[in-house]
Amino acid sequence: MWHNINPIVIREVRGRMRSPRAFWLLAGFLSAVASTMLLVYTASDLSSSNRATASSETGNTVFLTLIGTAMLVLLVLTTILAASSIAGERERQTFDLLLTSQLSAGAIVIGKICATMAYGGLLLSAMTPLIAIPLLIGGVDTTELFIMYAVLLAHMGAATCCGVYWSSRASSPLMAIGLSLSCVFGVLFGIPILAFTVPTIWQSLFTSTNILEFLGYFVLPVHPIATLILTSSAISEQAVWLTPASFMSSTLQLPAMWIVSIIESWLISLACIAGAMRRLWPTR
Amino acid sequence: MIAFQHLHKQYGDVCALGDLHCDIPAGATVGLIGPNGAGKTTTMRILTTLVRPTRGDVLVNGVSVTEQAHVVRRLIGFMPDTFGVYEHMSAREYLDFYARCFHIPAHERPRLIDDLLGLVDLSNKRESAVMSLSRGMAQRLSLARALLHDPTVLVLDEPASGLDPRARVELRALLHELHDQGKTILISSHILADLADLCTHLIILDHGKLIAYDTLTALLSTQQTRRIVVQTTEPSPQLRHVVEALGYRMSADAQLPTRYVIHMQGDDAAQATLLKACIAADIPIHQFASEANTLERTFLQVTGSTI
Repeated sequence: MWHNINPIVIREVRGRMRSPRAFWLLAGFLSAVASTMLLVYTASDLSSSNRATASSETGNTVFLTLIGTAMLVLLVLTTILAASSIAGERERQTFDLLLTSQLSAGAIVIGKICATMAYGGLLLSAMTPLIAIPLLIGGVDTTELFIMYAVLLAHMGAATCCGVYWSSRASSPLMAIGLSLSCVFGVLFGIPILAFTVPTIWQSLFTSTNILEFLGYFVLPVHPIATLILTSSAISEQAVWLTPASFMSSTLQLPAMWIVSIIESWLISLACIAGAMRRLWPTR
Repeated sequence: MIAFQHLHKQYGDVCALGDLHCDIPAGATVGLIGPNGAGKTTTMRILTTLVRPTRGDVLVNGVSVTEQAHVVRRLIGFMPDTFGVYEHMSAREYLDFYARCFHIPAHERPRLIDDLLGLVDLSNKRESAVMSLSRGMAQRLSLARALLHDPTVLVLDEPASGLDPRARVELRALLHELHDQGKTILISSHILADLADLCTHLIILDHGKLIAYDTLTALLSTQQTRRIVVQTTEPSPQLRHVVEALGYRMSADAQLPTRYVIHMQGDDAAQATLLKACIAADIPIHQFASEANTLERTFLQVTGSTI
Protein backbone atom coordinates (compact mmCIF):
# COMPACT_ATOMS: atom_id res chain seq x y z
CA MET A 1 0.00 0.00 0.00
CA TRP A 2 2.77 2.44 0.97
CA HIS A 3 4.50 1.80 -2.34
CA ASN A 4 1.67 3.43 -4.31
CA ILE A 5 1.52 6.64 -2.29
CA ASN A 6 2.61 9.83 -4.01
CA PRO A 7 6.40 10.01 -3.33
CA ILE A 8 6.18 13.72 -2.54
CA VAL A 9 3.78 13.04 0.34
CA ILE A 10 6.11 10.42 1.83
CA ARG A 11 9.19 12.61 1.47
CA GLU A 12 7.52 15.76 2.85
CA VAL A 13 5.93 14.00 5.83
CA ARG A 14 9.13 12.08 6.61
CA GLY A 15 11.30 15.19 6.33
CA ARG A 16 8.90 17.32 8.36
CA MET A 17 8.55 14.79 11.18
CA ARG A 18 12.33 14.30 11.43
CA SER A 19 12.86 17.99 11.93
CA PRO A 20 12.85 19.23 15.56
CA ARG A 21 10.56 22.03 14.33
CA ALA A 22 7.70 19.49 14.09
CA PHE A 23 7.78 18.91 17.85
CA TRP A 24 7.91 22.62 18.68
CA LEU A 25 5.05 23.39 16.29
CA LEU A 26 2.92 20.68 17.84
CA ALA A 27 3.74 21.83 21.36
CA GLY A 28 3.07 25.47 20.44
CA PHE A 29 -0.23 24.64 18.77
CA LEU A 30 -1.52 22.61 21.71
CA SER A 31 -0.35 25.23 24.22
CA ALA A 32 -2.10 28.03 22.30
CA VAL A 33 -5.35 26.11 21.99
CA ALA A 34 -5.34 24.77 25.56
CA SER A 35 -4.48 28.11 27.20
CA THR A 36 -7.20 29.92 25.21
CA MET A 37 -9.67 27.22 26.20
CA LEU A 38 -8.67 27.49 29.87
CA LEU A 39 -9.10 31.29 29.82
CA VAL A 40 -12.53 31.09 28.20
CA TYR A 41 -13.64 28.28 30.52
CA THR A 42 -12.64 30.29 33.62
CA ALA A 43 -14.31 33.47 32.37
CA SER A 44 -17.45 31.65 31.28
CA ASP A 45 -17.75 29.68 34.54
CA LEU A 46 -17.31 32.80 36.68
CA SER A 47 -19.89 34.83 34.72
CA SER A 48 -22.58 32.10 34.86
CA SER A 49 -25.31 33.09 37.38
CA ASN A 50 -27.68 30.18 36.81
CA ARG A 51 -25.86 26.94 37.63
CA ALA A 52 -28.55 24.85 35.90
CA THR A 53 -27.89 26.22 32.40
CA ALA A 54 -24.26 27.11 33.04
CA SER A 55 -22.92 23.70 32.19
CA SER A 56 -24.29 23.51 28.62
CA GLU A 57 -23.55 27.18 27.86
CA THR A 58 -19.99 26.83 29.14
CA GLY A 59 -19.51 23.61 27.18
CA ASN A 60 -20.72 25.22 23.96
CA THR A 61 -18.63 28.36 24.48
CA VAL A 62 -15.52 26.34 25.26
CA PHE A 63 -16.13 24.13 22.23
CA LEU A 64 -16.55 27.09 19.88
CA THR A 65 -13.46 28.76 21.32
CA LEU A 66 -11.46 25.58 20.89
CA ILE A 67 -12.54 25.05 17.29
CA GLY A 68 -12.17 28.77 16.48
CA THR A 69 -8.65 28.99 17.91
CA ALA A 70 -7.62 25.76 16.19
CA MET A 71 -9.08 27.11 12.95
CA LEU A 72 -7.11 30.37 13.14
CA VAL A 73 -3.83 28.69 14.10
CA LEU A 74 -4.21 25.94 11.49
CA LEU A 75 -5.14 28.40 8.74
CA VAL A 76 -1.98 30.39 9.35
CA LEU A 77 0.22 27.33 9.88
CA THR A 78 -0.93 25.31 6.86
CA THR A 79 -0.78 28.42 4.68
CA ILE A 80 2.85 28.99 5.67
CA LEU A 81 3.81 25.34 5.20
CA ALA A 82 2.05 25.10 1.84
CA ALA A 83 3.44 28.41 0.62
CA SER A 84 7.00 27.29 1.26
CA SER A 85 6.52 23.94 -0.52
CA ILE A 86 7.08 24.51 -4.26
CA ALA A 87 8.94 27.80 -3.77
CA GLY A 88 11.16 25.94 -1.27
CA GLU A 89 11.98 23.32 -3.92
CA ARG A 90 13.04 26.16 -6.23
CA GLU A 91 15.18 27.69 -3.50
CA ARG A 92 16.80 24.31 -2.69
CA GLN A 93 17.36 23.80 -6.44
CA THR A 94 15.53 20.47 -6.40
CA PHE A 95 12.57 21.64 -8.47
CA ASP A 96 14.19 20.94 -11.86
CA LEU A 97 14.83 17.36 -10.77
CA LEU A 98 11.13 16.91 -9.97
CA LEU A 99 10.12 18.44 -13.30
CA THR A 100 12.44 16.11 -15.24
CA SER A 101 11.03 13.05 -13.45
CA GLN A 102 7.95 11.09 -14.49
CA LEU A 103 5.73 12.91 -11.99
CA SER A 104 2.92 14.91 -13.58
CA ALA A 105 2.18 18.53 -12.64
CA GLY A 106 -0.97 17.27 -10.91
CA ALA A 107 0.98 14.72 -8.86
CA ILE A 108 3.43 17.42 -7.72
CA VAL A 109 0.66 19.86 -6.71
CA ILE A 110 -1.57 17.22 -5.07
CA GLY A 111 1.46 15.73 -3.29
CA LYS A 112 2.32 19.10 -1.76
CA ILE A 113 -1.30 19.69 -0.69
CA CYS A 114 -1.72 16.21 0.82
CA ALA A 115 1.57 16.47 2.73
CA THR A 116 0.52 19.80 4.29
CA MET A 117 -2.97 18.51 5.05
CA ALA A 118 -1.46 15.41 6.65
CA TYR A 119 0.49 17.57 9.07
CA GLY A 120 -2.60 19.69 9.75
CA GLY A 121 -4.50 16.45 10.36
CA LEU A 122 -1.85 15.35 12.83
CA LEU A 123 -2.25 18.60 14.79
CA LEU A 124 -6.03 18.15 14.77
CA SER A 125 -5.69 14.58 16.05
CA ALA A 126 -3.39 15.76 18.82
CA MET A 127 -6.18 18.14 19.86
CA THR A 128 -8.65 15.27 20.47
CA PRO A 129 -8.16 15.10 24.27
CA LEU A 130 -8.91 18.82 24.46
CA ILE A 131 -12.10 18.37 22.40
CA ALA A 132 -13.24 15.72 24.88
CA ILE A 133 -13.44 18.37 27.63
CA PRO A 134 -16.42 20.39 26.23
CA LEU A 135 -18.08 17.10 25.30
CA LEU A 136 -17.81 16.05 28.94
CA ILE A 137 -19.06 19.44 30.19
CA GLY A 138 -22.07 19.18 27.88
CA GLY A 139 -23.89 21.47 25.42
CA VAL A 140 -22.25 19.96 22.33
CA ASP A 141 -23.67 17.03 20.40
CA THR A 142 -21.86 14.81 17.92
CA THR A 143 -23.65 16.37 14.89
CA GLU A 144 -22.23 19.76 15.81
CA LEU A 145 -18.83 18.19 16.39
CA PHE A 146 -18.76 16.57 12.94
CA ILE A 147 -20.09 19.69 11.19
CA MET A 148 -17.48 21.91 12.83
CA TYR A 149 -14.68 19.48 11.95
CA ALA A 150 -15.93 19.35 8.34
CA VAL A 151 -15.94 23.17 8.12
CA LEU A 152 -12.48 23.31 9.72
CA LEU A 153 -11.02 20.75 7.30
CA ALA A 154 -12.62 22.45 4.28
CA HIS A 155 -11.19 25.85 5.21
CA MET A 156 -7.82 24.34 6.07
CA GLY A 157 -7.85 22.69 2.62
CA ALA A 158 -8.68 26.00 0.93
CA ALA A 159 -5.87 27.79 2.81
CA THR A 160 -3.43 24.99 1.88
CA CYS A 161 -4.40 25.15 -1.79
CA CYS A 162 -4.06 28.95 -1.71
CA GLY A 163 -0.56 28.52 -0.24
CA VAL A 164 0.45 26.00 -2.90
CA TYR A 165 -0.94 28.25 -5.64
CA TRP A 166 1.17 31.21 -4.55
CA SER A 167 4.10 28.86 -3.98
CA SER A 168 3.92 27.82 -7.63
CA ARG A 169 3.97 31.47 -8.73
CA ALA A 170 6.39 33.17 -6.34
CA SER A 171 10.14 33.18 -6.83
CA SER A 172 10.96 32.74 -3.14
CA PRO A 173 9.27 31.05 -0.15
CA LEU A 174 9.14 34.39 1.68
CA MET A 175 7.23 36.04 -1.15
CA ALA A 176 4.87 33.04 -1.39
CA ILE A 177 4.20 33.15 2.36
CA GLY A 178 3.55 36.91 2.19
CA LEU A 179 1.10 36.61 -0.70
CA SER A 180 -0.72 33.59 0.81
CA LEU A 181 -1.07 35.16 4.24
CA SER A 182 -2.35 38.34 2.59
CA CYS A 183 -5.16 36.27 1.05
CA VAL A 184 -5.98 34.53 4.36
CA PHE A 185 -5.92 37.73 6.43
CA GLY A 186 -7.78 39.50 3.62
CA VAL A 187 -10.64 37.04 4.14
CA LEU A 188 -10.41 37.06 7.96
CA PHE A 189 -10.44 40.87 8.26
CA GLY A 190 -11.87 41.97 4.90
CA ILE A 191 -15.23 40.19 5.16
CA PRO A 192 -16.09 41.58 8.64
CA ILE A 193 -15.18 45.08 7.43
CA LEU A 194 -17.43 44.57 4.37
CA ALA A 195 -20.20 43.14 6.57
CA PHE A 196 -20.21 46.29 8.70
CA THR A 197 -19.70 48.95 6.04
CA VAL A 198 -21.58 47.75 2.95
CA PRO A 199 -25.08 47.51 4.58
CA THR A 200 -24.81 51.09 5.85
CA ILE A 201 -23.84 52.39 2.41
CA TRP A 202 -26.45 50.17 0.73
CA GLN A 203 -29.30 51.37 2.94
CA SER A 204 -28.44 55.00 2.23
CA LEU A 205 -28.74 54.30 -1.51
CA PHE A 206 -31.48 51.66 -1.82
CA THR A 207 -34.65 50.85 0.10
CA SER A 208 -34.72 47.06 -0.51
CA THR A 209 -32.08 44.91 1.19
CA ASN A 210 -33.12 41.63 -0.48
CA ILE A 211 -30.16 41.51 -2.88
CA LEU A 212 -27.76 42.43 -0.09
CA GLU A 213 -29.04 39.57 2.09
CA PHE A 214 -28.75 37.20 -0.86
CA LEU A 215 -25.16 38.30 -1.48
CA GLY A 216 -24.41 37.94 2.21
CA TYR A 217 -25.64 34.35 2.04
CA PHE A 218 -22.77 33.58 -0.36
CA VAL A 219 -20.07 35.92 0.98
CA LEU A 220 -20.30 35.24 4.74
CA PRO A 221 -19.61 31.45 4.44
CA VAL A 222 -16.18 32.30 3.00
CA HIS A 223 -15.28 33.58 6.49
CA PRO A 224 -14.40 30.57 8.68
CA ILE A 225 -15.11 32.10 12.09
CA ALA A 226 -18.41 33.65 10.97
CA THR A 227 -19.42 30.23 9.63
CA LEU A 228 -18.58 28.55 12.95
CA ILE A 229 -20.52 31.05 15.06
CA LEU A 230 -23.58 31.28 12.79
CA THR A 231 -23.67 27.50 12.29
CA SER A 232 -23.53 26.91 16.05
CA SER A 233 -26.46 29.27 16.58
CA ALA A 234 -28.41 27.62 13.70
CA ILE A 235 -27.83 24.17 15.22
CA SER A 236 -29.09 25.39 18.60
CA GLU A 237 -32.26 26.47 16.74
CA GLN A 238 -32.52 22.97 15.17
CA ALA A 239 -31.81 24.34 11.66
CA VAL A 240 -29.04 21.88 10.84
CA TRP A 241 -29.49 21.26 7.11
CA LEU A 242 -31.64 24.15 5.82
CA THR A 243 -31.82 27.82 6.62
CA PRO A 244 -34.83 30.09 5.87
CA ALA A 245 -34.09 33.17 3.76
CA SER A 246 -36.52 35.90 2.68
CA PHE A 247 -36.14 37.01 -0.91
CA MET A 248 -38.57 39.06 -3.04
CA SER A 249 -41.36 38.83 -0.45
CA SER A 250 -41.16 35.05 -0.19
CA THR A 251 -39.33 32.76 2.21
CA LEU A 252 -36.93 30.25 0.67
CA GLN A 253 -35.37 27.22 2.35
CA LEU A 254 -31.70 27.32 1.35
CA PRO A 255 -28.89 24.91 2.29
CA ALA A 256 -27.38 25.68 5.71
CA MET A 257 -24.46 28.05 5.90
CA TRP A 258 -21.92 25.33 6.73
CA ILE A 259 -22.86 23.42 3.55
CA VAL A 260 -22.35 26.57 1.43
CA SER A 261 -19.11 27.22 3.28
CA ILE A 262 -17.76 23.74 2.51
CA ILE A 263 -18.82 23.94 -1.15
CA GLU A 264 -17.22 27.38 -1.53
CA SER A 265 -14.01 26.15 0.12
CA TRP A 266 -13.90 23.24 -2.33
CA LEU A 267 -14.41 25.61 -5.26
CA ILE A 268 -11.62 27.89 -4.02
CA SER A 269 -9.39 24.82 -3.55
CA LEU A 270 -10.13 23.54 -7.07
CA ALA A 271 -9.41 26.97 -8.59
CA CYS A 272 -6.09 27.15 -6.72
CA ILE A 273 -5.12 23.59 -7.74
CA ALA A 274 -5.94 24.35 -11.39
CA GLY A 275 -3.96 27.61 -11.20
CA ALA A 276 -0.93 25.89 -9.65
CA MET A 277 -1.02 23.06 -12.21
CA ARG A 278 -1.35 25.56 -15.04
CA ARG A 279 1.67 27.36 -13.67
CA LEU A 280 3.74 24.14 -13.87
CA TRP A 281 2.14 23.05 -17.15
CA PRO A 282 4.21 25.03 -19.71
CA THR A 283 7.26 23.02 -18.73
CA ARG A 284 5.43 19.72 -18.37
CA MET B 1 20.20 9.89 -31.38
CA ILE B 2 19.82 13.59 -30.52
CA ALA B 3 18.78 15.85 -33.38
CA PHE B 4 18.75 19.59 -32.76
CA GLN B 5 16.51 20.99 -35.50
CA HIS B 6 16.95 24.74 -36.11
CA LEU B 7 16.57 25.43 -32.41
CA HIS B 8 15.82 29.01 -31.37
CA LYS B 9 15.24 30.44 -27.92
CA GLN B 10 14.40 34.05 -27.33
CA TYR B 11 14.12 35.66 -23.85
CA GLY B 12 12.45 38.98 -24.60
CA ASP B 13 14.88 40.82 -26.88
CA VAL B 14 17.76 38.53 -25.99
CA CYS B 15 18.51 35.67 -28.37
CA ALA B 16 19.79 32.90 -26.10
CA LEU B 17 20.00 30.37 -28.91
CA GLY B 18 19.86 30.98 -32.64
CA ASP B 19 19.39 28.21 -35.18
CA LEU B 20 21.23 25.35 -33.49
CA HIS B 21 21.14 22.51 -35.97
CA CYS B 22 23.16 19.30 -35.60
CA ASP B 23 22.82 15.54 -35.10
CA ILE B 24 24.54 13.64 -32.30
CA PRO B 25 25.10 9.95 -33.04
CA ALA B 26 24.15 7.23 -30.53
CA GLY B 27 26.91 6.31 -28.10
CA ALA B 28 28.80 9.58 -28.56
CA THR B 29 30.19 11.59 -25.67
CA VAL B 30 29.68 15.19 -26.68
CA GLY B 31 31.26 18.19 -25.01
CA LEU B 32 29.23 21.39 -25.08
CA ILE B 33 31.61 24.31 -24.72
CA GLY B 34 31.45 28.03 -25.08
CA PRO B 35 32.02 31.21 -23.12
CA ASN B 36 29.52 32.28 -20.43
CA GLY B 37 26.22 33.26 -22.03
CA ALA B 38 26.91 31.15 -25.12
CA GLY B 39 23.63 29.21 -24.76
CA LYS B 40 24.91 25.96 -23.22
CA THR B 41 22.50 25.91 -20.29
CA THR B 42 19.58 26.94 -22.51
CA THR B 43 20.39 24.07 -24.88
CA MET B 44 20.48 21.62 -21.96
CA ARG B 45 17.27 22.96 -20.43
CA ILE B 46 15.44 22.61 -23.75
CA LEU B 47 16.78 19.08 -24.18
CA THR B 48 15.66 18.11 -20.67
CA THR B 49 12.15 19.57 -21.31
CA LEU B 50 12.57 22.29 -18.67
CA VAL B 51 12.25 25.10 -21.22
CA ARG B 52 10.22 25.27 -24.41
CA PRO B 53 12.08 26.47 -27.51
CA THR B 54 10.77 29.56 -29.28
CA ARG B 55 11.18 27.80 -32.63
CA GLY B 56 12.58 24.50 -33.80
CA ASP B 57 12.65 21.18 -31.99
CA VAL B 58 14.92 18.52 -30.51
CA LEU B 59 14.36 14.86 -31.29
CA VAL B 60 15.71 12.29 -28.82
CA ASN B 61 15.65 8.88 -30.43
CA GLY B 62 13.04 10.32 -32.81
CA VAL B 63 10.84 11.64 -29.99
CA SER B 64 10.09 15.37 -29.93
CA VAL B 65 10.83 17.27 -26.70
CA THR B 66 8.04 19.73 -27.42
CA GLU B 67 5.32 17.22 -28.30
CA GLN B 68 6.15 14.15 -26.20
CA ALA B 69 8.05 15.61 -23.28
CA HIS B 70 6.94 12.84 -20.89
CA VAL B 71 8.48 10.19 -23.20
CA VAL B 72 11.70 12.20 -23.57
CA ARG B 73 12.00 12.47 -19.77
CA ARG B 74 12.12 8.67 -19.62
CA LEU B 75 15.00 8.64 -22.13
CA ILE B 76 17.08 11.32 -20.45
CA GLY B 77 19.00 11.37 -17.18
CA PHE B 78 19.78 14.91 -16.08
CA MET B 79 22.49 16.00 -13.68
CA PRO B 80 22.29 19.75 -13.06
CA ASP B 81 25.24 21.89 -12.05
CA THR B 82 23.86 22.29 -8.53
CA PHE B 83 23.23 19.48 -6.07
CA GLY B 84 19.92 20.29 -4.43
CA VAL B 85 19.53 18.53 -1.10
CA TYR B 86 16.58 17.60 1.02
CA GLU B 87 17.26 17.85 4.73
CA HIS B 88 17.04 14.76 6.94
CA MET B 89 17.47 12.23 4.13
CA SER B 90 20.02 9.43 3.73
CA ALA B 91 21.69 8.58 0.41
CA ARG B 92 19.49 5.48 0.10
CA GLU B 93 16.31 7.45 0.82
CA TYR B 94 17.40 10.12 -1.67
CA LEU B 95 17.68 7.54 -4.46
CA ASP B 96 14.51 5.76 -3.30
CA PHE B 97 12.55 9.02 -3.53
CA TYR B 98 13.62 9.65 -7.13
CA ALA B 99 13.11 5.99 -8.02
CA ARG B 100 9.49 6.43 -6.89
CA CYS B 101 9.27 9.60 -8.98
CA PHE B 102 10.24 7.49 -12.00
CA HIS B 103 7.62 4.86 -11.09
CA ILE B 104 10.22 2.13 -10.63
CA PRO B 105 8.43 -0.89 -9.12
CA ALA B 106 8.88 -1.40 -5.36
CA HIS B 107 10.45 -4.86 -5.69
CA GLU B 108 13.17 -3.55 -8.03
CA ARG B 109 14.13 -0.48 -6.03
CA PRO B 110 16.32 -1.91 -3.19
CA ARG B 111 18.56 -3.88 -5.56
CA LEU B 112 18.76 -1.06 -8.09
CA ILE B 113 19.76 1.42 -5.38
CA ASP B 114 22.42 -0.95 -4.04
CA ASP B 115 23.80 -1.48 -7.56
CA LEU B 116 23.96 2.24 -8.29
CA LEU B 117 25.55 3.07 -4.94
CA GLY B 118 28.13 0.39 -5.78
CA LEU B 119 28.69 1.83 -9.26
CA VAL B 120 29.43 5.31 -7.88
CA ASP B 121 31.43 3.84 -4.98
CA LEU B 122 29.11 5.08 -2.24
CA SER B 123 27.99 1.74 -0.77
CA ASN B 124 29.60 2.64 2.55
CA LYS B 125 27.62 5.92 2.63
CA ARG B 126 24.26 4.19 2.13
CA GLU B 127 22.73 5.44 5.38
CA SER B 128 24.74 8.66 5.66
CA ALA B 129 22.82 11.93 5.55
CA VAL B 130 22.94 13.50 2.09
CA MET B 131 23.88 16.84 3.65
CA SER B 132 27.00 15.30 5.23
CA LEU B 133 28.47 14.12 1.90
CA SER B 134 31.47 15.90 0.40
CA ARG B 135 31.09 17.74 -2.91
CA GLY B 136 32.63 14.86 -4.84
CA MET B 137 30.40 12.27 -3.16
CA ALA B 138 27.35 14.45 -3.74
CA GLN B 139 28.20 14.70 -7.45
CA ARG B 140 28.55 10.91 -7.65
CA LEU B 141 25.23 10.48 -5.85
CA SER B 142 23.69 12.95 -8.29
CA LEU B 143 25.03 10.86 -11.16
CA ALA B 144 23.54 7.72 -9.58
CA ARG B 145 20.20 9.54 -9.39
CA ALA B 146 20.42 10.44 -13.07
CA LEU B 147 20.99 6.74 -13.88
CA LEU B 148 18.05 5.40 -11.81
CA HIS B 149 15.68 4.85 -14.73
CA ASP B 150 18.44 3.55 -17.02
CA PRO B 151 18.30 6.44 -19.51
CA THR B 152 19.89 6.16 -22.94
CA VAL B 153 21.00 9.79 -22.87
CA LEU B 154 22.84 11.51 -20.02
CA VAL B 155 22.86 15.28 -19.82
CA LEU B 156 25.49 16.58 -17.41
CA ASP B 157 25.80 20.27 -16.63
CA GLU B 158 29.23 21.16 -15.23
CA PRO B 159 29.68 17.75 -13.54
CA ALA B 160 33.25 18.49 -12.40
CA SER B 161 32.71 21.99 -11.10
CA GLY B 162 34.02 22.42 -7.57
CA LEU B 163 35.59 18.96 -7.42
CA ASP B 164 39.11 18.34 -6.14
CA PRO B 165 41.59 16.65 -8.56
CA ARG B 166 40.99 13.18 -7.10
CA ALA B 167 37.21 13.48 -7.36
CA ARG B 168 37.60 14.73 -10.94
CA VAL B 169 39.66 11.68 -11.88
CA GLU B 170 37.06 9.37 -10.26
CA LEU B 171 34.21 11.12 -12.08
CA ARG B 172 36.06 10.86 -15.39
CA ALA B 173 36.58 7.13 -14.85
CA LEU B 174 32.87 6.74 -14.12
CA LEU B 175 31.90 8.62 -17.28
CA HIS B 176 34.30 6.47 -19.33
CA GLU B 177 32.53 3.42 -17.93
CA LEU B 178 29.12 4.82 -18.88
CA HIS B 179 30.40 5.62 -22.38
CA ASP B 180 31.59 2.03 -22.69
CA GLN B 181 28.09 0.90 -21.71
CA GLY B 182 26.79 2.69 -24.81
CA LYS B 183 25.20 5.74 -23.20
CA THR B 184 25.01 8.91 -25.24
CA ILE B 185 26.45 11.65 -23.03
CA LEU B 186 26.19 15.42 -23.41
CA ILE B 187 28.51 17.29 -21.06
CA SER B 188 28.79 20.99 -20.52
CA SER B 189 32.02 22.00 -18.85
CA HIS B 190 34.59 24.78 -18.63
CA ILE B 191 37.33 22.27 -17.78
CA LEU B 192 38.49 21.61 -21.33
CA ALA B 193 41.23 19.18 -20.33
CA ASP B 194 38.54 16.88 -18.91
CA LEU B 195 36.47 17.18 -22.07
CA ALA B 196 39.50 16.41 -24.24
CA ASP B 197 39.92 13.19 -22.26
CA LEU B 198 36.23 12.21 -22.32
CA CYS B 199 34.62 13.43 -25.50
CA THR B 200 34.30 11.92 -28.95
CA HIS B 201 32.55 15.00 -30.35
CA LEU B 202 32.46 18.71 -29.55
CA ILE B 203 29.85 21.42 -29.96
CA ILE B 204 31.23 24.96 -29.67
CA LEU B 205 28.67 27.67 -29.06
CA ASP B 206 29.16 31.41 -28.90
CA HIS B 207 26.47 34.06 -28.42
CA GLY B 208 23.80 31.43 -29.03
CA LYS B 209 25.25 30.38 -32.38
CA LEU B 210 26.80 27.08 -33.36
CA ILE B 211 30.44 27.90 -34.13
CA ALA B 212 31.70 24.37 -34.66
CA TYR B 213 30.49 20.80 -34.38
CA ASP B 214 32.69 17.84 -35.27
CA THR B 215 34.60 14.93 -33.82
CA LEU B 216 37.32 15.88 -31.35
CA THR B 217 40.06 14.59 -33.70
CA ALA B 218 38.75 16.57 -36.65
CA LEU B 219 38.47 19.77 -34.60
CA LEU B 220 41.98 19.44 -33.21
CA SER B 221 43.42 18.82 -36.68
CA THR B 222 41.81 21.99 -38.07
CA GLN B 223 44.02 24.10 -35.85
CA GLN B 224 45.96 26.31 -38.25
CA THR B 225 48.72 27.78 -36.09
CA ARG B 226 51.52 25.54 -34.82
CA ARG B 227 53.74 26.35 -31.88
CA ILE B 228 57.32 25.17 -32.33
CA VAL B 229 59.56 25.33 -29.30
CA VAL B 230 63.24 25.72 -30.19
CA GLN B 231 65.97 25.54 -27.60
CA THR B 232 69.55 26.42 -28.49
CA THR B 233 72.81 25.79 -26.65
CA GLU B 234 73.54 29.56 -26.60
CA PRO B 235 71.46 32.71 -27.40
CA SER B 236 71.02 32.89 -31.17
CA PRO B 237 69.88 36.24 -32.62
CA GLN B 238 70.25 34.77 -36.12
CA LEU B 239 67.24 32.50 -35.55
CA ARG B 240 64.89 35.49 -35.77
CA HIS B 241 66.17 36.34 -39.27
CA VAL B 242 65.63 32.75 -40.44
CA VAL B 243 62.11 32.61 -39.01
CA GLU B 244 61.08 36.02 -40.34
CA ALA B 245 62.52 35.19 -43.76
CA LEU B 246 60.06 32.31 -43.94
CA GLY B 247 57.22 34.65 -42.91
CA TYR B 248 56.62 33.34 -39.39
CA ARG B 249 56.53 35.03 -35.99
CA MET B 250 58.88 34.29 -33.11
CA SER B 251 58.93 35.19 -29.42
CA ALA B 252 61.83 34.73 -27.02
CA ASP B 253 61.44 33.47 -23.51
CA ALA B 254 62.22 36.35 -21.11
CA GLN B 255 63.50 34.05 -18.38
CA LEU B 256 65.34 31.54 -20.53
CA PRO B 257 67.23 33.38 -23.32
CA THR B 258 68.03 30.16 -25.19
CA ARG B 259 64.33 29.18 -25.55
CA TYR B 260 62.24 30.49 -28.46
CA VAL B 261 58.60 29.89 -29.50
CA ILE B 262 57.83 30.04 -33.21
CA HIS B 263 54.22 30.55 -34.36
CA MET B 264 53.93 29.17 -37.84
CA GLN B 265 51.16 28.30 -40.26
CA GLY B 266 51.47 25.24 -42.38
CA ASP B 267 51.73 21.48 -42.40
CA ASP B 268 54.46 18.97 -41.49
CA ALA B 269 56.37 19.82 -44.73
CA ALA B 270 56.55 23.50 -43.73
CA GLN B 271 57.86 22.46 -40.33
CA ALA B 272 60.57 20.34 -42.01
CA THR B 273 61.54 23.30 -44.24
CA LEU B 274 61.91 25.48 -41.12
CA LEU B 275 64.17 22.89 -39.47
CA LYS B 276 66.31 22.61 -42.63
CA ALA B 277 66.67 26.42 -42.77
CA CYS B 278 67.79 26.51 -39.13
CA ILE B 279 70.41 23.81 -39.72
CA ALA B 280 71.61 25.53 -42.89
CA ALA B 281 72.05 28.77 -40.93
CA ASP B 282 74.21 26.86 -38.46
CA ILE B 283 72.01 27.61 -35.47
CA PRO B 284 73.11 25.51 -32.43
CA ILE B 285 69.79 23.71 -31.99
CA HIS B 286 69.47 21.63 -28.84
CA GLN B 287 65.71 20.94 -29.08
CA PHE B 288 63.15 21.44 -31.88
CA ALA B 289 59.62 20.28 -30.95
CA SER B 290 56.09 20.95 -32.13
CA GLU B 291 53.65 21.40 -29.22
CA ALA B 292 50.63 19.10 -29.35
CA ASN B 293 47.38 20.79 -30.33
CA THR B 294 45.21 21.30 -27.26
CA LEU B 295 41.50 21.78 -26.89
CA GLU B 296 42.11 25.08 -25.16
CA ARG B 297 43.99 26.43 -28.18
CA THR B 298 41.39 25.07 -30.59
CA PHE B 299 38.63 26.68 -28.54
CA LEU B 300 40.46 30.02 -28.44
CA GLN B 301 41.10 29.86 -32.16
CA VAL B 302 37.50 29.02 -33.02
CA THR B 303 35.96 31.64 -30.75
CA GLY B 304 38.94 34.00 -31.00
CA SER B 305 37.13 36.79 -32.76
CA THR B 306 34.72 37.24 -29.87
CA ILE B 307 36.99 36.83 -26.86
